[in-house]
Amino acid sequence: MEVVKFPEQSKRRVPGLDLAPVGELMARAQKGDKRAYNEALTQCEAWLKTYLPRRLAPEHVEDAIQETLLAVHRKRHTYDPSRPFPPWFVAIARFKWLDRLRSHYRHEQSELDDDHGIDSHEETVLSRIVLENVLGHLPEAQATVLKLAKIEGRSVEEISMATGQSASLVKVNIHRARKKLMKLLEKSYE
Amino acid sequence: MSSDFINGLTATAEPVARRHAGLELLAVLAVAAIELVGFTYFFDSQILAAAYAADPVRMTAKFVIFGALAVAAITLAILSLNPAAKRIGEGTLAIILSVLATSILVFDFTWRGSFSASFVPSAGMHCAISVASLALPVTLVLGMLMMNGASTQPGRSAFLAGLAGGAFGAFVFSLQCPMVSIWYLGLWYGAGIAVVSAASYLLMPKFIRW
Repeated sequence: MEVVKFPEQSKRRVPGLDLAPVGELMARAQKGDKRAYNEALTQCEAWLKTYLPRRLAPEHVEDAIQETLLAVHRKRHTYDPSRPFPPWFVAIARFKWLDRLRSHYRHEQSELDDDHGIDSHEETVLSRIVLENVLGHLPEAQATVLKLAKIEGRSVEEISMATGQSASLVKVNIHRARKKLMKLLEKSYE
Repeated sequence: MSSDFINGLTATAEPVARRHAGLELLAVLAVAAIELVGFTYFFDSQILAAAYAADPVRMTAKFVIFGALAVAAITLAILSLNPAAKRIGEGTLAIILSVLATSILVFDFTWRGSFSASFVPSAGMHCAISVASLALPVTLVLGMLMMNGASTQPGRSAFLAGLAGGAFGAFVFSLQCPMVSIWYLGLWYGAGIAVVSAASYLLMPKFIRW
């Protein structure tokens, strides 16, 4: 499977924010230095405020930041101070971002299965640019329904009429497209 | 609001015992050693001696294959608990399984394994259940380490934990099992390893808390 090349591939470098010095703060935090810990989390938060808004809808960003900081808090004992801090932290941030996408997709899928229709555009989950980049890597039938549902915000019935696919096939194609989308996203950020 | 959140986390932050992959490996090996010693204490060594005398090369090859698989899977499972570790792709898993399958085939073609001897359900089921049972200690220890670690690939880490436990179970059980037919080993030992790996893959990620 071809790996999608996104316009912005840098995972560790956010302009103006250097995570490398946070490693020393985190090492002190592991020993119980609360001031260092507070500073480390504050810098992580600043980095997340640049990283996540490009990948999530505005209404999800604050929750995602808190979830990521909570994960850092719970797993801070797994950071090895002899190694660079950015790969450790960015891997957690990326994991929490993809985890949030997965749970969002599951929630939307259950709404689709309950015939509640699609009540949000893909902008609420992914940036339009990212979505349009991956659409080209999906089979045409899946890309079409995903685009209609997520970019144009059409209901299952409307998509069914527009594409000639049955309503259940539309749901199946949306489900498959989402699964493939997640795989593409995971691969592209490895 | 965020600064309140950070202050809250800071207030509850106590010194932590850092995770050490080397110590985790030692813990798994210690459990494996205890299981191995306990098992060999109870089994009839005459069976092993007779089987080894009859076919020393294939018996040795059998130990080496399952032992190597167990060591490789334990190492990869522990490495996968570090979020910054290189991600384990399908390619790595495919290489491990291909090497195993190739070893088995070379083993069989070289020493003319008997295909018909594979299908002995009563003995085969006994082997499969024994392998799965003997897999539990190592699998559970790796599961506990998973909860303490920070795997960003929980499904793969869990699968590797099951594979490691299953391979070690097969290694231990092979010490008292005289069967050397490659088809038999592939089918019944493989079934035991596959059941543990699948159960681990399905169940273990549910216990991971991030």
